[in-house]
Amino acid sequence: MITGLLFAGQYYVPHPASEQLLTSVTKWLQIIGGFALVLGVTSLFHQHAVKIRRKEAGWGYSLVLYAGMLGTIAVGFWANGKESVDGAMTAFGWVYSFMMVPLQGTMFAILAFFIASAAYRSFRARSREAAVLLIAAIIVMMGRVPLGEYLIPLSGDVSQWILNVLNASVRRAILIGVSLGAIALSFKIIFGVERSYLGGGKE
Amino acid sequence: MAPADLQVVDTPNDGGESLTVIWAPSSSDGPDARYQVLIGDAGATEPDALKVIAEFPANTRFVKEAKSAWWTRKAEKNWHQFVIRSGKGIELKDGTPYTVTVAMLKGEERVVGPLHQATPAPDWVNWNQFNNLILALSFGGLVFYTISHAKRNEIFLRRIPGLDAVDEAIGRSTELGKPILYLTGAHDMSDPSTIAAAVILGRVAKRAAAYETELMVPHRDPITMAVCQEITKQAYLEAGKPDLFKEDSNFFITADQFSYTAAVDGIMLRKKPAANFFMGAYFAESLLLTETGASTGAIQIAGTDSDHQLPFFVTTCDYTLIGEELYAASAYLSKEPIQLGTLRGQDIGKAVILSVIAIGTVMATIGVATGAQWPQLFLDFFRDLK
Repeated sequence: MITGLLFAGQYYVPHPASEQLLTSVTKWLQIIGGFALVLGVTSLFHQHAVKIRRKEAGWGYSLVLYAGMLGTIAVGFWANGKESVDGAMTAFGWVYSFMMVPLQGTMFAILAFFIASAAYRSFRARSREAAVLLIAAIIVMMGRVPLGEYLIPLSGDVSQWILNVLNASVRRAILIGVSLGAIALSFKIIFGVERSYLGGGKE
Repeated sequence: MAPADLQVVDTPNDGGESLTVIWAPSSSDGPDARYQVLIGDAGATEPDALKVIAEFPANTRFVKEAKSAWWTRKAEKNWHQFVIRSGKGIELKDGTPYTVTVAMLKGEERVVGPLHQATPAPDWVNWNQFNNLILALSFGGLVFYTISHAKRNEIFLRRIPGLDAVDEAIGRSTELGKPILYLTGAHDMSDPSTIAAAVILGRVAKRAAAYETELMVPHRDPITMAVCQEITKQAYLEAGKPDLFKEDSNFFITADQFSYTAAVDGIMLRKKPAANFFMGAYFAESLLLTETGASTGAIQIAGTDSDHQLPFFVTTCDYTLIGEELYAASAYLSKEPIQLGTLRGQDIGKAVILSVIAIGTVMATIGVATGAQWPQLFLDFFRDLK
């Protein structure tokens, strides 16, 4: 509670000593986070080791994970953690640039297809709400592309109105609720009213 | 023509290394006239020994442009104000006195004001944020009052379909003999939404333990994983099934956004959980996760305060807890007076904010229409000032 109140109060104190205190605690959090990573990696290794040992369904993926992780650690040590030396790409840099980045890009690119499939399901106007969603989406889409605005000249203005008035007001209403919820939860945690997130008792 | 009523003070409510210069408006103010701010060491007695650090048109830099409220304002709103901060060309040190003045230039004429000395110093309290403190304390007081009220009286809680469906989802998993997948979001334990997700996990884990259904909780943050392991263990103990608790029901995947998403999508496709819970904060991965879950036919319940991801959750999940409903979930599932009282406090808080928006709109309109200053006394109290 004392720490919670101290750092809630820190927000109102502009003195460099207060900033220094916040910086120190943030660094401590980073250090603790670093140690916690050991917990995480141990959990990961343990889970996949069990899968491989028991030859559970999909244990081959666990082997790939082991190979990928140990291989990356090995090249990381070999390259001294550097992605390039004197302008030349190291093996570690190669793994990052030609494996990590394309894989991440691939995952992100799938989003476009998922949006299309999710939109298809939502836009089947089976209810009044879905019909409203469909109409609003069509107007906004038309207002966002030059061809749409050419075909329906009003769509640009109506689309802006939907985004600036309807959308923005609802978002702000949600944000007010979220902020009050977060403040109330913070108060409960600081004063020990809510302890269940620590795996403790009911109150 | 010389800057009148010149004052040089340590900038109030700041972290130091800054001075504020204030002077009265002049009849010569206009776009054709300019002001210069000069600064030098404390020993300087002549304007020539001072360095020009800023020059601007005489019809700019007013007190009203500064983000301050009536309770911290040092001069009338139409007075000029310039804040000197350490930066390009000047370095101010706390505790060191400086000589400062302002000069006015009009055509070929240059008139220098009186020389003043001031010393920058850091402050211990930012009184600009006094309104924020009062409002936060008032809301805190209100929450604790409503908690004590809820202990003595029954409080009505409206139905939240997404939370009513939690039992349905766990029951379905039990019937089908398939696991439950629970995600706690992208943020770490310092985020209230993750804490709310962890609290709900406790309730879900307790029911899953009672129904003897497998629970899988993949994590992006090791600290959240450790916390959730304890929560799950406690839930199994409370359900009287400690023997069913598995240490590795909570497991770490990776902190990387899309690697995590790929791994969870893989779990969904291979293990085919019958119920997926997406609680906490999410980013671009939300649709990748929920659309994959929808394709496996799982019942999906989401709860997030990430307003930008809400449309994706609403589109792909069976039930979505919108914004504050995520924080209300703990109260709804437990029905404990303390939790219910908090919800009542939040509702009163929302009513107050709505009233302030309505009254503020009217007052701001009156202020603009009549030129009256008194509405500002009210409006300033609800402004966000740094």
